[in-house]
Amino acid sequence: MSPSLRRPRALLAFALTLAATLGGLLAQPRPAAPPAAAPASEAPSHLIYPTQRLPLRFDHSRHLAMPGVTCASCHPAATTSARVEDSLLPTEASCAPCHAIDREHPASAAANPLGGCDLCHEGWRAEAPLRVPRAEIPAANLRFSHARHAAQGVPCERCHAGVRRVGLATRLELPTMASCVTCHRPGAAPDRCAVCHLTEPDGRLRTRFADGWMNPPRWMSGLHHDADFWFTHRLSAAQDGSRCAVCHSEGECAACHDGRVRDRRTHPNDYVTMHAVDARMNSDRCGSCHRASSFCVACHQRAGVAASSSTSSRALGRFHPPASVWSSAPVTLRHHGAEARRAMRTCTSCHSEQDCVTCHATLSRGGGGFSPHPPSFIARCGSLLRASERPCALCHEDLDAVRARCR
Amino acid sequence: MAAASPTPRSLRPLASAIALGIVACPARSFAFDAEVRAESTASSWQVRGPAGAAVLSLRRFTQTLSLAGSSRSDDPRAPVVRLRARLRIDSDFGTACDPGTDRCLDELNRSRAAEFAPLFARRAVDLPFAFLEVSGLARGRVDLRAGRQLVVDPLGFFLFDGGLARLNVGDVASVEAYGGWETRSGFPLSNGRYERDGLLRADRAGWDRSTATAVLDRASATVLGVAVDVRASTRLDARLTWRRIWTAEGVAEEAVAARSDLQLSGSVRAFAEAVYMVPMATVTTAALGVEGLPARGGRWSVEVLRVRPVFDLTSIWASFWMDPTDEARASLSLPLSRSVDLSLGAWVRRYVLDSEVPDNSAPSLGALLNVGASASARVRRPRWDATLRASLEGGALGMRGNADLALRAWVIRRALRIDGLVSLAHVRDTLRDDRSLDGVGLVLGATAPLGRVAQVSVSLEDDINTVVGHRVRAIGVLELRTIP
Repeated sequence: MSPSLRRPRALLAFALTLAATLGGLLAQPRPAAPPAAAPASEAPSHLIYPTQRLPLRFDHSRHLAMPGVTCASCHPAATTSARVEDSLLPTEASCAPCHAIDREHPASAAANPLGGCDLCHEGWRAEAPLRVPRAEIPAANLRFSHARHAAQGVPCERCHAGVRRVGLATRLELPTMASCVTCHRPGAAPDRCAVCHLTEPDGRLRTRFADGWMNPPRWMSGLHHDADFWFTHRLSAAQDGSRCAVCHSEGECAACHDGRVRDRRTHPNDYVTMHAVDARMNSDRCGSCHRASSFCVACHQRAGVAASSSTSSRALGRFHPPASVWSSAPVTLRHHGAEARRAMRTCTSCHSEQDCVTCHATLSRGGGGFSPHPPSFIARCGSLLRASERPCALCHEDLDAVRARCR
Repeated sequence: MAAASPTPRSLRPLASAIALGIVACPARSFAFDAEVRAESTASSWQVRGPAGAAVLSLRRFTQTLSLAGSSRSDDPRAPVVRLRARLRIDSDFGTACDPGTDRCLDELNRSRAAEFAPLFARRAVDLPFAFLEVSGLARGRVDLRAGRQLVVDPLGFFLFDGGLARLNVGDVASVEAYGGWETRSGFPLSNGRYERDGLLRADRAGWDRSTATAVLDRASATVLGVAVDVRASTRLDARLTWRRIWTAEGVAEEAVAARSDLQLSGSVRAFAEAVYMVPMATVTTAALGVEGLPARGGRWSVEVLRVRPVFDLTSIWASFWMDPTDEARASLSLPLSRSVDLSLGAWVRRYVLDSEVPDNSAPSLGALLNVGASASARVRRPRWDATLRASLEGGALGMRGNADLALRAWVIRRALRIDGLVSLAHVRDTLRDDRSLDGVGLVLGATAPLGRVAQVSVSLEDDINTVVGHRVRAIGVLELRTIP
């Protein structure tokens, strides 16, 4: 066991972590959430607001500049609508008070400057004067009540920012999550994700839509699902699995981390033939999905690789380098002692305790007496002994003597 | 060591939670949404041992059945009840045969010690999770969960049968306590996947004492855990956790972990993590990192990590000499456009073998270095997406490089999805040069949704490399979804 981890540097790292935690505890909470890193130019998601078709001509800036014209003048239902499925587009009745629309004699704007059909309807043709291209505004993939927001006194432009400056309002004038969370934050408006987002029957957020998968916004700290997230998500998941559980089920974790089908993103190609080098380089990473003492051993036993493989399946020849390098003195970087110190998990993917006890047990236990303990082990073997005497008893015959040494 | 089956124990907390859920949730305006999912996967491929003595012809059929549901109420303050369960049956119809003689082994026959593979099971049935949760009790202050459940936190994955209670202190903190029995290998409906490494266990009932003596009998383990979470506005997200697991043979694990995310500024956050194994008096994981989110888009991060393996404290491995591995990693993610993003990564891994030896009694071996880099580019369009990923790592421990191009396209008005993958690999094994290889892999697959309730997918993979030649793998998956 390496003493370096027990020395000041390691303790310093641990202390820093605790200090960061405690420091944060004592820190004054700032006024929350608007994600300062959220770029103002971030456009609304196509998954949340599917693509619209707006064959219309309209100028919000000109209309809102007129005296007495408010949003509700043209969108009266906007203050009472409780569902995103409601159409809030102005109807002809909303336009008629100002625009002399004549359905009996439909004409172009050239003939009827304020009431001509093509004043507002793009693609209007005189040959089919009452058939205009329809606007298509699919419902947002959200839960939203205009009525509830209006009742709270939320002005339209808090969510539809910039609408006063544009001509035709498009998806770009719809609110992004970055603007929603300026109010929907702890202690203010409800901040549970499912308040706005659609959910599956099991309560998770619905993330799969016709046009793809919904991912967290880029500014959401540590959760940006970029091209490498598949390989780096531990850094987010280890913080608090409940954050992942908002969108992901335990089944999704288990599908890979306790899976039965090799995932090609992680293990492409004939991975089973080439996995040994990866395992040597970073066996700890293998451990995030594979338990060496069951998954690896079971396969190595069947394939005839493990020391405990049945004699009928045992591979001919030696798996490890020659004994002169692997197990005889001196200990070099290619010696099994060095490999074990560096990547013990790879040892346990083939070997059981018995294999090691054979040589590492004390002479009185019938072993070779080669101590596997680190040099400073005596200083802290007491706490390990108190945790469990079983491993000590496998190599040491006189446990009373061990107890006396390891206090 | 024989122990009682945990199944009745796992049902006790689940039954309690169901009763509590019924009592806690008002009958008025209460509805429960549920869905049942089933997934059938059939796959076939071959594995050859390094010396070619046995060829495993693996033919596997895995069936999962999942139930998930949650309550729905018009009152946003009403408690939410969630139920989630999954059952899995994994059947292995494969064989282990000697290609020279065509003789196949009888790996399940304990009386034929020369062929017996003690950890092999022809059919394994397990329950990856099954729990009932009631959250938002006592005006949002209390959450309860009971059954077989997974805890994911700085101490890693942990699966246990028992109960968990969480007390929410306003919006800024919560205290969590859990207890029960660890889900361990050898017990019914358990595969022990999340147990610590170190001991081989199985249900030895009926085994001869001299059979496969390296495999120990199953042993139940009790667990107790406590965690404190702090969320001070958007500035701090921290978790401090302690867990102790013990069996009749002693303490298998006792650890404390702390992890914190601290928002240093509007666009920069720092995170730190440490895990301390109490009986070993050792920090087994220490990590520090910084992440930045530039206003123009993209993400960068730098992190350093020191890690050492952790084993069951009742196994001999926990008292062996183990050295840590240090890793420094930098990554950069750039959105090139709305549909294209690029990620770059580089890392250095240092295997420390020059531990301080006060009395000079042990050799100082120096340190080994490995260096790696990766690049990923992803294009996402409504009807197709493509990902190109290349990585290379090399150094004292060999070299591994691969480049993969994955394509996915929806055709026939989204009635069919076509998947393709081309993969190149180069491996140089410094320990065993005969295992060094160059390889190419090709995958072609198709997925077809069958209405809103089913989806079927098939894929065929052909891998060619200089060590084993051709390897073919076929997979078929049928997914069914029902909303009662």
